[in-house]
Formats: sequence, structure tokens, C-alpha cells
Amino acid sequence: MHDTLAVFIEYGPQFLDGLAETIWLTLLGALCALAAAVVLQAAAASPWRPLRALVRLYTELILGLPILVLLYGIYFVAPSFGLRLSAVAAGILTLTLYYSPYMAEAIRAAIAAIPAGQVEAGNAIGFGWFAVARRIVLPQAAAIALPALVGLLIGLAKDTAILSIISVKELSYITKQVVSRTFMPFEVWAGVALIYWVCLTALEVAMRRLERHLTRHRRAVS
Amino acid sequence: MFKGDLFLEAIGPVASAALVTVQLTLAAGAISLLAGALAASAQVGGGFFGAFVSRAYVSLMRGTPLYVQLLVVYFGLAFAGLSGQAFLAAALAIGINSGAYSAEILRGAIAAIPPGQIEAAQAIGMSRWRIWQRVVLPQAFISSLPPLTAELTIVLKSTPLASVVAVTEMTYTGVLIQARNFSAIEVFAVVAVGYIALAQVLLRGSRSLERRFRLLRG
Amino acid sequence: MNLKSLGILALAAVLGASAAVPAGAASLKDVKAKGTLVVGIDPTFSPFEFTDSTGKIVGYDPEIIEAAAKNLGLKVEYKVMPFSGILPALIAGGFDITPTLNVTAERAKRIDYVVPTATSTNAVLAIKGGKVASADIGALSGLTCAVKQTTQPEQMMQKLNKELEASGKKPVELLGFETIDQTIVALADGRAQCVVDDKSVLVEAVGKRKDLALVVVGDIGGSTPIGWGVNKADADLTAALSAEVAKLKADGTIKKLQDKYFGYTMELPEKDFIPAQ
Repeated sequence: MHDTLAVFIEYGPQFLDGLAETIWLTLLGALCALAAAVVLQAAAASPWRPLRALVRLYTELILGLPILVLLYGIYFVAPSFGLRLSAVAAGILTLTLYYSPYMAEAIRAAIAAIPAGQVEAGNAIGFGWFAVARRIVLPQAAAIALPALVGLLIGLAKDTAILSIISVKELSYITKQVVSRTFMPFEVWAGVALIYWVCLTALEVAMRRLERHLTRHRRAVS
Repeated sequence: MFKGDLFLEAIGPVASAALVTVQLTLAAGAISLLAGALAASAQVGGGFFGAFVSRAYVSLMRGTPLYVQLLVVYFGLAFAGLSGQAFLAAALAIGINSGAYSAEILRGAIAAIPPGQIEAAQAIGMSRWRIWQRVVLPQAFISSLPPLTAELTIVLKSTPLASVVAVTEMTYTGVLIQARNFSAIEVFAVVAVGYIALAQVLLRGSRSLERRFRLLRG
Repeated sequence: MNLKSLGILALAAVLGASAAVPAGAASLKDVKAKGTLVVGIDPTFSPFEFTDSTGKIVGYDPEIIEAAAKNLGLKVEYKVMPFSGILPALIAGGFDITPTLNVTAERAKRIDYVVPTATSTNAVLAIKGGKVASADIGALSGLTCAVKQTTQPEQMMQKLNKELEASGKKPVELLGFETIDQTIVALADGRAQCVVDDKSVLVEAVGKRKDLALVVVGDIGGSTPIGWGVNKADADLTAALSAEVAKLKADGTIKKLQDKYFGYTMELPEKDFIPAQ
């Protein structure tokens, strides 16, 4: 126990660097994935059939492909097709490609949950397409989609650990380095698991607060 | 650029490694179901202590990367005198990780069982344990089959990580072939097709189950 | 079975809190009783260890291991994993031995070494006509180098980086991967300007990637003996394997294998091969 603590103190600055990398990969990856999910969802709702079919095919492929295989493909195979990305960029692209179909599905389900009558009512009082989306659909859909999106955000944050395989210097990469120096695999990995747990639990609690904030209108009525 | 002979060379070894992937998926899936049923039961009917332990379990599993869990379990088993049990470690780690999600699925299904059924069972004198075993769990399992199958697909997609604890499944077999030939694309193609095919089996199974149960419920 | 496994895991977690329980490592007697020598290996390191087109593990060290095991009346079973997991798993008792480890003072504190079966010189691999024209560490300053994660070449480069920084120069940025072919991909695409690893392994890679203009620029960081690592708890296994390696050296088998896999022979130290620092 004492030895374990000594390791975390000695390598503290490196662990902190790794954690910072993990956090910003998570934030950037989540933003890109969410943006891609909105585009995917818009494409899936497009009147143009080939586009819808393409989105379906893509979603189906991603649902069957392990993220690790996707990562290998983007970092080690894509360069032979001219797509040459740094490890961090390849990591962000992998997280985006992998998580966007799942997020798009969460958004789709949330929008579908809003009664069509509300949209019609909005139109009836003279709201345009944009006003309906901004004032009626999105605020409610965001609140409905949030629990599923938070689950996916946490999944994405955890999957940043896999990026260590292509030399992204996030928390797990640093941990492998530390284990190779200290030869205390169980203690160090268990300690790092605790670090992940604390950060992800904090993230989840923060997101729950946001969810409560977004759904405050429901409580006010009931 | 794409070498046909390397593509053909990869098919055999990757196909036999697919067997390891399937075994690992099934073993981890079974552990997930067991852990999920235990955790869901403890959360609903386990009293204060049971609910606390179950919540802690779900939170720990959801809050740490599987990659890290695999290493902790592998090295943890070594402390317990089970060192070198690569397959056991991988199946356990992936299984108990997924168990947290199975627990949430089952908990939702248990909550959806009409209380009248339980009252009826009590009225005919069934014990609490019997009600759980005969009335609650079987129904929860059946109504959760579609999401549980979807969870099994996630388990399948988690198995490539088992290579970090010395299980040579499909992805790692591909990595070894790439390391030998210094060429990635052919093996990557074989491995990707392998996963998509296996996942399609599960996805289609899940959808047909879903349809069937929707019909049953009218 | 499942419930029992769960119980075992819970036990592992509890024990983990106190740590310090040694892994259930086997002694020579236990290894003989089970009749199998379990070898942890990362077979992506030709010519030392690699897989043939049927997936069988072959190479310089596997041949010596199999010869030594045969003399001891043992079968050989391989456990394959990426290098970054191998030393931790050896210490945790995941297998009996692991081959092709550079002998370093740091590692020798935690594991035992069988007498060396090879010597390794690290070298710098680059693209002909690229930014790297010399293997001098000063010339690599500020560039990016691909290495295998947690290996001795990586640790050696980290040490050289400290010297660079002490003299006010920019360190070499190190990208850690899991296999040599992956480091070569990073080099081929310009995401790294050089690869540092064992010279004979790099020479092999040059032959495999004739489509690239790869060149071994020069040696870096001196040479170290390479040996098999054994769990500290198995002193008698280390001794028995050392005796077998000595026999294979005496009867010329090892020289023959060196010719077969490296194309040259090397002198191997028999004692005092563990560096003080």
C-alpha cells in the first residue's frame, strides 16, 4: 500500500499529463461525435433514398465492428489510401466514426418521442421550420436524449484508453510506461482504475445535474 | 498494394481464431447474465446492504475502462493463485463488465412486472424466493431478450481487448499475421469481415426475437 | 463454476488491497511435475521469434528453448501477448519464462536471467535521403522516433533524451507501438522520421519492406546481452536452464542457430552479464 502510494507520488506529474490528455480527448471526441451524429440523423431523415441507404449501411457496419479494429484501420491501413493522420487525430476520428451512429440513434428516438401535434400546433400559430425546431422540438428532445447520450459519453471516455495502442499518450499509455519501470502491475492498474472511476463518476453526476436543469419544466408542471 | 495471396493466407488462421472469439463471447455472455441477474435481484430485493453492493458494482464497472479492468482482473487472479489463466481472466473481466449493463436491463424489466402477479403468487402461498425464481426472473429474462442480445453484440465487440492478457482471438491473430508480412490491409479486411459477419448473426437474431415478442404481446 | 469465479474475483480484490502476496510461481520441481515449460512470448520480433505461415511460433530463441526443454524432458507451451504485458505477467506468474529480454539492471532487480543467448545492438532505421542521416543522438534531437512500447530500446532513448535535455537540446519525441511492423508504418508515412530497435530485427524489416527505401543509419546506445527472464521465485529453474544453454553452446548448436537466423555468430558472456547500472 505504502509502495503503491510512493509510485503514484513519484510518477504524479506524468499521470497528470496523461489524465489531461484523456480529458481533452474525451471532450473533443464527444463534440465531434455529437456533431457527426446530428449530420447522420439529418441524412437519415433526408428525402433522398440513396443517402438514407448509405447511412443505414454505415450504421450497420459500425454496429458490427469493434472499435479496436476501426482504430487499426484508420491508423495503419488508411495511409495506403492517402489518409495520413497523427495518432491523436486518428484517435479522435475513430471515436467520432464509432460513436456517432449510436448518438444519432439516441437523437432519433428522442425526436420521435415528441408528439407530431406539437409541431402542427407550432405551425398553426405561425412558427416557421426553424422556430419549431428551436423552440419546441430541440429543448424537449435534448432532455429526452440526454440520459442515453450521457451513457455514450461515458463509453467514449472509457474507450480513449484504447488509443494507447497507437501511441496516444493518455492515461493508460502512461500507466504501461510506469508499470514497465515499477513492476507493480496490479497495484498500479488498480490505482489507475480508481482515477478513472472518480473522474467518470464526477462527469456522470455533473451530467445528471444538467439533465435535471433541462427537465425542470416537467417538475414545475407536475 | 492489395496482395491477394496475403488475403488468402489470412483466411484460415483468422477463421480458426474466430472460434476463440465466439467461445469468449459466449463465456463472457453467460457470466454477464449471471452477474446481471444477481445484481438486479440484489438491487430490487436485497435490502439496504444488497442494494448498496449492487450499486457499487454497477458504478465501478461503468466508471472504469474495460481495458483497465482486464489488466486488474488478470493480475488480481494471479494474487488469488490463478496466475496465467488467460481465458478465465478475459471471460471474467468482460463478463462482469457487461454484467453491470445486463443488471440495468433486467432491473428495468423487473420493474415492469405488474405487482398484481406478485400479490397473486403470495396469495397462493408461494415463498419470496419461489416467487423470484418462478414468476419474476423468468418473465424479466424473456422481456429483456432483445436488449440482452444487443448487449451480447457489445460483448463480441469487446473481445479484441482480451489480447492484452494473452488470449489470441481474431484481432490479435490478425496483428500477428501483419507483423509477419509487414502488410496490414489484407488481414484487416479479413478480420473486419469476420466481425461484421458474427455481429450480423447476433443483430438479426435480436431483431427476429424482438419481432416475435412484439407479436406475442399483441 | 460461475459463482465460484465471482467469489475468487472478490477475494482477489480484497487481497489486492494488502498486495505483497507472491504469485503462485512454479519451481523447477513443479514445472517437471506438470511436464510443460510455459513460455510467454511476443512473436512479432523476427528473427528472434515470429510466426510462420501456419501460425506456428518459430525463430532463434524458440529453437533454443525447445532444445533445452527437450533435454529436460519438458514440452513447450506458448502464451502469446504484446510485449508491454509480458514482464508484468511474468512477475505475476502468468508463465515460467520469457525469451529475448535485454538484460538491464532495473529489470534484474525484479526478475532472474538465464545466461544470455544473444547480444543486441540498437540501431536507427530511417528513410534514405530523409531527415535522419546519422545515428548520433544530437542529430535526432527534435525529431520523432517510433519504438516498441516499454522495451529496452524505448527506455534507452528516454535516457538519452534526459542527456539531450541536460545539454539544452530538444528531446526526441517517442511514439510507442506494439509491433515492429507498426513502427515501420509510422516511418513509411512520415509520421515518424526514424525507428529505434535491435539491429538484426531492423535489418529483417528492411528486407520485408523493399517497397520503401529503408536504411539502417547506424548503431545507437551500445550493446547489451539478451537472455530469457524467469520469475525470481524460480532460482532452480533459472539454474537448470542456464546449464542447458551452456550445453547447447558447448556442442555448437547455438552457433549454428546464430548462423541460420542472423547470418553471423556472436560471443556470449557466461557470467557477470548483469550491468551494475
